[in-house]
Amino acid sequence: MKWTKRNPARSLPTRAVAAALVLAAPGVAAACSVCMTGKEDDTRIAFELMTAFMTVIPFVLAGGVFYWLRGRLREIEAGHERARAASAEGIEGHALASPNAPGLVAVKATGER
Amino acid sequence: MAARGAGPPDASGPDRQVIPNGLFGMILFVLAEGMLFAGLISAFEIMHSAAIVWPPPDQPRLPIEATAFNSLVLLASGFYLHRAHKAFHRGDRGNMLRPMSISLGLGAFFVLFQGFEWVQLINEGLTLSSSSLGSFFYLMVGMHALHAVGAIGLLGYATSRLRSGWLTPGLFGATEVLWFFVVAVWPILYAVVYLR
Repeated sequence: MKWTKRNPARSLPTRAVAAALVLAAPGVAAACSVCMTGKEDDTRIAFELMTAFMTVIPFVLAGGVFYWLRGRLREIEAGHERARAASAEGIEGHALASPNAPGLVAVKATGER
Repeated sequence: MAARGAGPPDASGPDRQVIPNGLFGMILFVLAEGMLFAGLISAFEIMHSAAIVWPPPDQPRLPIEATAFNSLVLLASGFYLHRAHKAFHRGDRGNMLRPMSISLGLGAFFVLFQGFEWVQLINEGLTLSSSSLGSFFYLMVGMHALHAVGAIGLLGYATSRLRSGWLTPGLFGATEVLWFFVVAVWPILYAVVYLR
């Protein structure tokens, strides 16, 4: 094919503008919300991560509650132990202070409540 | 919730409460709701990973700065409820009313501000059916707002009981758990939905 005159559509500026448009266009062209071509890997990774997330999260939540309840139970037990010890000391002290008090002497002697 | 075991000499019986029943029930409810939000976040992440352009180009942008301010308001609300919590455990009920009322007011402001934001976004074209962003935005943020409204109702009830001198540890604990849940979930939703 012999060119007698240069085609203006093939000039360098025209090609540069066309290239720039092609480079700028994909953002808009791919705006279709159901176009997922080329994203299969990302979606697969997201599925795997979210599966792991949804598997772990119940254990984390229930485990956190269990751990908190266990701490609360121990706190209450410790409080009761302190109260029991203080009560025993108080009874012993009272028994020593008034050794003739009926009942308290028996508590001191047997060490039972 | 009761535990069996040897109690102190003056305990009323072998069974005693570790936490009030109302509080335990609310904890179970919040666990279930935590899974609901985890499911929503999971679905959003998968949908987001499949989108080539995010956010959709023909949709309005979410108000990130205004919502950041609103998030701080919600966090401040949680802070004031924590102050009420400390006063409650000191036995200082006289100093509970003010932080609880402030917490209630800040929570109400948060929900109203969200409503105002929604009206603006709907006017700009972001609706439930306009795009996947709109669908998930209204579903996730709306679900949170629903919980916030419920928690505000409970907080208001607890405040009124405090005023009348009948605030029980069970009611206050349940209110705290629900409100702290609402406060704690929001920054996660904000990061997932808004900061994308």
